[in-house]
Amino acid sequence: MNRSHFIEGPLLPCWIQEQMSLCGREQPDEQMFSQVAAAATGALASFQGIIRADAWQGQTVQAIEYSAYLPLAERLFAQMEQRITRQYWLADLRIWHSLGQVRAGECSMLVLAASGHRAEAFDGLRAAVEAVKAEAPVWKRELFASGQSRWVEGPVSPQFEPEPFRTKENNK
Amino acid sequence: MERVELAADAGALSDLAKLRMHLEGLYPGLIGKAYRVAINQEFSGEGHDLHDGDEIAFLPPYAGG
Repeated sequence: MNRSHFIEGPLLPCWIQEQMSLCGREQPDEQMFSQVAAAATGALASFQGIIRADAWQGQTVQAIEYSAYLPLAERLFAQMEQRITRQYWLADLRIWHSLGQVRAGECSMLVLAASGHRAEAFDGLRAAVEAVKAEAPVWKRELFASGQSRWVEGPVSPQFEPEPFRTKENNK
Repeated sequence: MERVELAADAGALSDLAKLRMHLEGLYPGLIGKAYRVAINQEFSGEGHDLHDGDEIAFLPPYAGG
C-alpha cells in the first residue's frame, strides 16, 4: 500500500473516525471494505497524540510546528508498519503524523492497530507508538503567544552519539 | 529543514568524515552535537565515499509524536 503517512495540519476528529471505521476492514491493496477482512478482525486499538499546553518560562504552548525529512520518513513509516504487523500478528496497522502547525488540544499523531484478539492489538499499538518516537525523522518547535518559539530536543539515543572522525586514510 | 548546496573541489570532500570536518569549520555550532547522517536517504558510516550530486542529511535527535 502506497499511501502518505503525513498530513498537513491537525488530524481532525471526523477524519479519525473514518480511518477507525476502515482499519482492519479493508483489503490492504485495494482500499475497499472487505467482509473477509472484517470477519477476521476482533480488536481495534487506537492511540492519538494530543498537543499539550505546556508551560515554559511563564509562557504557554499555543501550537507545535512539525517538520520531517521526507521521503525518508515516509519509507521508515512504511517499514515500521510492515515490521510491527508481522511481529505482533496484526491484521492491519496504520500510522499518521501531522506536518506544519497543530494547536494545543488538537491531534498530531494517530496509530491504529487491528488484530483478531485484544492482546496483539494492544502490544502492537504500543510498539508502533514507541517506534515512531524513536525512529521517525520528525522534529517539532513549540510556538508561544508572544511570537517566541523553541525547538524541542529529542532524546540522544546511542545511534545519535557523536563519533570521532575516521577518514578512509586514518582508518588504514 | 535547511538545504545548502556545496561547491567543493573534486576530491576535497571525498568521504563523509572530510565533509563533517569541512562543515564544522563553517558551522562551529555543529561540533560535539549529536546527529545521524543519511546519504541519498540511507544511513551511513564515517568512511562512506561521497560523489557529486549526493544528498547528505544531518539529522538531529528525533522529537516526533
